[in-house]
Amino acid sequence: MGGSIEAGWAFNAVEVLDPHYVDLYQQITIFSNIFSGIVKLDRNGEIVGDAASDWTLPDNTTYEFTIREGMTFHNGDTLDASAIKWSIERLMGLDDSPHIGKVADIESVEAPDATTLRINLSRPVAPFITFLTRGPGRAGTIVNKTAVEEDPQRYRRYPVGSGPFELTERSTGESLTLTAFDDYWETDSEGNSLPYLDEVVINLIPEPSTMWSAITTDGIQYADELPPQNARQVQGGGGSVDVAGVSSGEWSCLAMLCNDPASDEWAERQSYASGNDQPTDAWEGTDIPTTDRRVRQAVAMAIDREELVSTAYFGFAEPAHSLINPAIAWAYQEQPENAQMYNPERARELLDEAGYTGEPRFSGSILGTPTDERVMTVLQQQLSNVGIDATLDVQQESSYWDNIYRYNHMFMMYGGGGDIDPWMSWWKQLRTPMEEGSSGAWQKNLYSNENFDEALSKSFNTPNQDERIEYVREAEQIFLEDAPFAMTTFPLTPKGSVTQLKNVGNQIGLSNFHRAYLEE
Amino acid sequence: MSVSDLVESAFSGSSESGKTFGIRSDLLERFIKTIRRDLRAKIGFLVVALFGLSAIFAPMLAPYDPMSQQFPILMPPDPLSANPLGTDSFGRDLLSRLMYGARISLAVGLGAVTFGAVLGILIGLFAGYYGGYIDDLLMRAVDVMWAFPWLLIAIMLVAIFGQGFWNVMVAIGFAYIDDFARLARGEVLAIREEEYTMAAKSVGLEDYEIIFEEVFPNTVAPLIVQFTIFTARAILAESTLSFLGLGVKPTTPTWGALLGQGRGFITQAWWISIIPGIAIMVTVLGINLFGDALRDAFDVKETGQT
Amino acid sequence: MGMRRYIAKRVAHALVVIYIVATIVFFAVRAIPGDPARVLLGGDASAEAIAALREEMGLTEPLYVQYIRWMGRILQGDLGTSVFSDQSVLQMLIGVAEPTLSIAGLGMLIALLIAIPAGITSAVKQYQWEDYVATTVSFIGISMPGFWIGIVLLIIFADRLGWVPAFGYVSFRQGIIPWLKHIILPALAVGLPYGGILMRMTRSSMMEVLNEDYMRTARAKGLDGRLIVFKHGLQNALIPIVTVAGILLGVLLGGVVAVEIVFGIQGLGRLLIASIQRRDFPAIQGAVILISFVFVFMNLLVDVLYTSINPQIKYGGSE
Repeated sequence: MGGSIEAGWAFNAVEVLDPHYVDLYQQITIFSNIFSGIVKLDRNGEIVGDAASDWTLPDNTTYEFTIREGMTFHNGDTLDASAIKWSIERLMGLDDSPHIGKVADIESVEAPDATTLRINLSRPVAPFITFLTRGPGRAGTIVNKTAVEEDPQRYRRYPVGSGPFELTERSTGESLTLTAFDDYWETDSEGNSLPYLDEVVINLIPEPSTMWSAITTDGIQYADELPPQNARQVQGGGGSVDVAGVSSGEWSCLAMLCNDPASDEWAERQSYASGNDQPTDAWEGTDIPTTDRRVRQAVAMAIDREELVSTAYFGFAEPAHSLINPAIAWAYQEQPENAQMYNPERARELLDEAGYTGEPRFSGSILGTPTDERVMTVLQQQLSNVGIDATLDVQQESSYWDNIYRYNHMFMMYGGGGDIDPWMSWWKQLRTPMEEGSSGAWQKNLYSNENFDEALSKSFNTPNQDERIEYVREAEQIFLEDAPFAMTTFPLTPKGSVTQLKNVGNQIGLSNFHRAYLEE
Repeated sequence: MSVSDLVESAFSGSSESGKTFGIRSDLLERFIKTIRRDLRAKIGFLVVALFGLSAIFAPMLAPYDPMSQQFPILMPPDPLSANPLGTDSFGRDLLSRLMYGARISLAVGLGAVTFGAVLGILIGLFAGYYGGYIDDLLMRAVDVMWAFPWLLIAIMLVAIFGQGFWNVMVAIGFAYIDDFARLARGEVLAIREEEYTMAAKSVGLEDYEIIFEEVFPNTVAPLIVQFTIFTARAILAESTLSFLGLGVKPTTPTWGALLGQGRGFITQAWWISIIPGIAIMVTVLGINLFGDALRDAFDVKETGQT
Repeated sequence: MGMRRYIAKRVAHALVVIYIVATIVFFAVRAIPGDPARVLLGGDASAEAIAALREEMGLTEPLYVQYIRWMGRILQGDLGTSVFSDQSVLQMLIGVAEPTLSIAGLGMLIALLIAIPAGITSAVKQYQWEDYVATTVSFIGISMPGFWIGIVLLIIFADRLGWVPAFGYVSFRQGIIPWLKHIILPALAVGLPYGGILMRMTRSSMMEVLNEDYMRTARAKGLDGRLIVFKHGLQNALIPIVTVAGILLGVLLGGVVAVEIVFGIQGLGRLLIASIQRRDFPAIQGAVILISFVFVFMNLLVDVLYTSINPQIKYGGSE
């Protein structure tokens, strides 16, 4: 065992690695090798203990964790319940952290002894445990007090954690060196210490073609993300590179404008999401076909998801028939009841019913970014097959975000990533925007349905998974009926490793080298 | 009817300019003679005509809808198949896309140079004719323009005003303003003191009349040469911008955009990027040959502005 | 006007041009729609967080205040900090300048090595087969987009033959041979079109010189033909060649941007385009100023060179 590998990350510059500030998936995939969480996601995407060996819920608002003994940080500090308490309380005080919302409902954190950690919530928060995972959750990722207090600015770039690897060297825009942490607590089933690898050098290779050429010539042994058109070439095996398409909880859809932002009902409400008091008058005197539920259902039926997957993604995606993505293993169903399925005949009928019978039936523009371009191009063709004339408005990321909250497009390419709980997408993106709190704060398409809001609130406040799933299903059915989003796909990230490199942990899109080894 | 006859008839309509004081009346004659005699001009003219016509009549000539994703993706070229030039990564027919692409690429090229020429020539004419502080002011502005490499100007303009046919045209054409301005000014300075200009002044013509009726026609020869050669450059510029993803709407087929879309497939589908490149090369070569022949015919000195 | 005063005047002029360029760029980047704070915080950041960051980045102040501050910093040599990566713009520019300069430099060298001998041969052997071959090749050279030449070379020499790596860049500090292997194709891609133009220029100015009276006289006197061509001819023909080489620097720089993208090289061009897409104002400004600076001063150098190899030109009158 042992050995070192070179890896490639498709990224320009990995700046921040302080988990309480990290917001990009490529950063998550790096830091989850450096840190421990209170809990983590295992290979099947199930939540299991990390620093906590076990936990219980004495009641709906209390989490009690049993913390392992003998864990240390990379700098030698002891990791015990009080160290974790400090880490959580640090996040609670970070106004500028994107994750502060996740700890907003914490009333208090207690560490009565070294192995007991108790978190008291002010109200039941069902997804709370997912926030405490070390990867995507981030809130429960444990940072080191000494190092943070010494120099918080430096800590952003040179984090000290307690994970299987420590960051020993970094050179901006080029590479990061992860060295095996000798005092890592975990051992394999035979008692060998983990990790097996001595060193992982992460090279930043933002250019997809370069990444591909590097892994095929053995310049790197692992690629965090390969270009799908190349990855498809090696699928089926036989070559020197293995490719796994993994879901990082990503989903993608065509969001449809459900209401006129300037209408009496929405003029003020839209501002809770957009922050813009003056709603657009782009729709004045025009009809917005997508405000009709039948039209939205028709659009959802016009999408041939299988074709989309093969043409636009070169196979690296799953067709999406509903909003719950495969990374939410406990709630995901491939085709729930009333799922959004391809049915162009029915789509045409619905459009006829809605009164759109012309040629074209109606026209509208799709807003998206250059990364969406392939998908948009295929969607445009599919919509035209049912008589909808879609023009493509491809905007750079910055103008895309400016435009999307102006509500001046009928269709928007939209999606999310790292969603490991149904609450994550639904609450901010589909619930009615409210003046207070985060409900509907990310509304892109001005959707509102009281019953949906209600089901969602219940699902949020019910930590018991068996009860909770009922509310999740209820909300899902309303979503499918109203079709505010025409779901498209759950994209998969093609991760590549040379055949000698085995056992990299790719659950929910991570790249964990924790148990990875090189075959002789 | 031979090629040169065609050209002759095409240009004969506009030859009624003999009434002005001192215009070189042999201009058109030379032009036609060149095409008749010069092999380069013939080849160039033929190529340009061929591509121009296939662009204009693309809707009739193209075998398929250039946007329709009806074939298997990434099919290699096969002259005997339904897609003689293969298909792209969406399963669209490359030949049809190439023909439609010619329309935008050629139109942007021509439009860009026209824009640059009109503005540049106006600036140059006024600067040269009036001299003094007007000249200074205008030429300083031109100097500043010149301090930006063309691509930089184009990228900034597209970033500010957005992608689109007219914006890209202007963005590319902008870079030619200074060249045209310098050239026009130089020519004006040379003929300002000539007899016919003096004569025009002495009979009391207005300044603008003198500029547009006397001075301008006499700068035409070098400007035509410049125009031709810049059109070739502008087509290359359009292809570069589109390749960078900053051209006309990203989804519109233009030669450069076709090339750009092939970039991710270089190692598995060479034809997507190679074939549009050949189309660009042949067209630009044609225009360059034509321009070169014109240059010889008009006796314009090569200034390296190719 | 003396040479020294002439140079001083031209330098001052160049600095004024760069100042104006910098000013234009400052306002132009702010006219680009899109908000760097939004890009940085991600699409779904709250309005308050964005407002706070805009404040922190100094974007909420009136434009003229921002402008004056920025000018003040520039004069102290501070180009600011990248919005996106927290890195100083100067550091970023230094980082990306190496690959770009390597490609441009080698490209120019290739162009000159091809263009000057070919141009002279072509002029001396006018209307013979050598001339036709050289002219045709140069014509084809100027009719191809440089980045496309790059694609063709990449497919042939990297993908099919595997002689050189297809993508990426390796610094010369890691060895001259790997460095050359990585930049040879990009350099050819920018160098060939550039060489095509230079060759045509060399040919025509050489021909002009060969037809001058003194050359004819020299030949009539029976001096060795080759000697004449090189001693008198080249010397005089070089003047316009040098000028054109300078003017065309813009073409070369423009070519490098697209070529960097073909070969996946993190150079100045890629930085510029990525910065525009991210609305990274300080980085865009820095990159544009650097490019204009190089451009203006290379031309200045050419101008000065031009006046010194050609004593007939009066210093003031070359504009």
